[in-house]
Amino acid sequence: MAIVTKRQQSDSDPLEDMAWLAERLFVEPSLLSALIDPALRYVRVSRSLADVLGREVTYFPGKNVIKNGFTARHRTVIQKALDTGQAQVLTNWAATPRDKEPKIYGYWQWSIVPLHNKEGLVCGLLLAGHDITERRLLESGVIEAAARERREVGLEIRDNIGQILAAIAMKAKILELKLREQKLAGTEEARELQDLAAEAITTHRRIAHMLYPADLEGGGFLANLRSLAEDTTQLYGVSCQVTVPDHEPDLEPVQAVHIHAIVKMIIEHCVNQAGAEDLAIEFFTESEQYVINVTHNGKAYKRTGVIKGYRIMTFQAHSIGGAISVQGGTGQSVVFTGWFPRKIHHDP
Amino acid sequence: MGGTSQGDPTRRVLIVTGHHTLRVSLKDLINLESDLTVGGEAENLTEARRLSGDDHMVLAIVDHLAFTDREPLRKPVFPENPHMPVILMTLDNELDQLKRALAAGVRGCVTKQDLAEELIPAVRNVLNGQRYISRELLVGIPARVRAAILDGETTEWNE
Repeated sequence: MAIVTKRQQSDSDPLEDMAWLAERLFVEPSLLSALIDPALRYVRVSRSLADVLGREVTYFPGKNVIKNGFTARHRTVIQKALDTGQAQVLTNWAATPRDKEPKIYGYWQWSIVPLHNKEGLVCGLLLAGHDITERRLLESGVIEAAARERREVGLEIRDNIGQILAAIAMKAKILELKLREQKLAGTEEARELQDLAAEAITTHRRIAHMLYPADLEGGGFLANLRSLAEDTTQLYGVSCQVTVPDHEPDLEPVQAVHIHAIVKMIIEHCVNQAGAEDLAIEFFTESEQYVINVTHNGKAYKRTGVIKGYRIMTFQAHSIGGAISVQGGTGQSVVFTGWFPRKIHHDP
Repeated sequence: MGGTSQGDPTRRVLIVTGHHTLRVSLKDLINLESDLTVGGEAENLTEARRLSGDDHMVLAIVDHLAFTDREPLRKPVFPENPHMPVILMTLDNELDQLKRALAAGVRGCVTKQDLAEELIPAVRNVLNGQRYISRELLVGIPARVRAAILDGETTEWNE
């Protein structure tokens, strides 16, 4: 609000006015701030941001933002703020200013606020970043705990219930053989008991499969994806096609686990919430990233906030340097897309 | 129950699974066969390897869960008795698991949902020098490869 007042009172260069106002913002040590012009060059940065980037404040004016602390992937978000005049938010992974040696990396959330001149045109952007490392650690702790819980349930089902069901089937077989030998009634029922136990084993195996993290199965990421599609068809009675490349992608184990979990959550949403009957999973490589599309014919939700599990899958994607989006609807198929870097970068 | 061959001495089978209930049921099922008897029960591979040294043990039935990262499925499964045939009880119908099993020299693979129906036929086939693979495990494998596997002509394959 103060910025608007100052702008309205001044006839001078709005960016200079902004810089003057931003000075007040820039003394806040816990906030990384920068003022950039429409050509994405720094006009001014705060001391805290200069510290993070390992430079003096005087180094920045005129330098390209993307080459100093942000990646090309962020360019699209920053550019969008310039093009649309609407505020944007992005999250990146950077060294925290409080830890110079050794460097400790943390998550920063950036608000990108467009600044408008008297004509209403965007004349610059104000970047304000705050440290969300603790929050992200807590979030990832919650996700990890949930994944661990699922894994334990999956293991329990696989290692215990499956054996008991197999034992029941064998006992039923023994009963059938004994009844038959003694020419007693009930062989048919004993036989049915065996069949039911065998069916229960098949169902339990599919449920356990759905609960296992991908790394437990050892069949490779693509095999697990195919298996997930098969299980989806079997468990939910919907069509689930999968298209994958011939060769196994070079995913880090943590990526494989998270991507698998994300696809699983998307499928659960598609079937249980959106009522989809046709699903298609497509995984491919596109230059420096892996892309996964899950297309479905169910209901589209304009607000991602109401999509069950969307926040968790977004966090999971971010935790491995990726992103999730959802598009389509109103007469067209809905497509969930996930982008994941071919290698996780832990360095800004 | 089950045929007894004249003059055929009782053949001893080793059972390896960490699950007590499953072990008891396997034992009961095998002991119904008059020419077969459970000659040893082990909860894990270490224990099983100790028992496998018994020359009278003609076959081992091993739970796939007995194999771990520390004790992977590899050839020979029982170095103390390398020629003793092994039947693997498996839960998953994963092709990779079947490939690994055959590469390790396993002679039979039976899924747990088919144990009641297929275990005894599998034991008999394997004791007769043949391979036995559960029908479900062979689904999706090209007919030519399937025939080669069952004939024992291959321990691994490339589709």
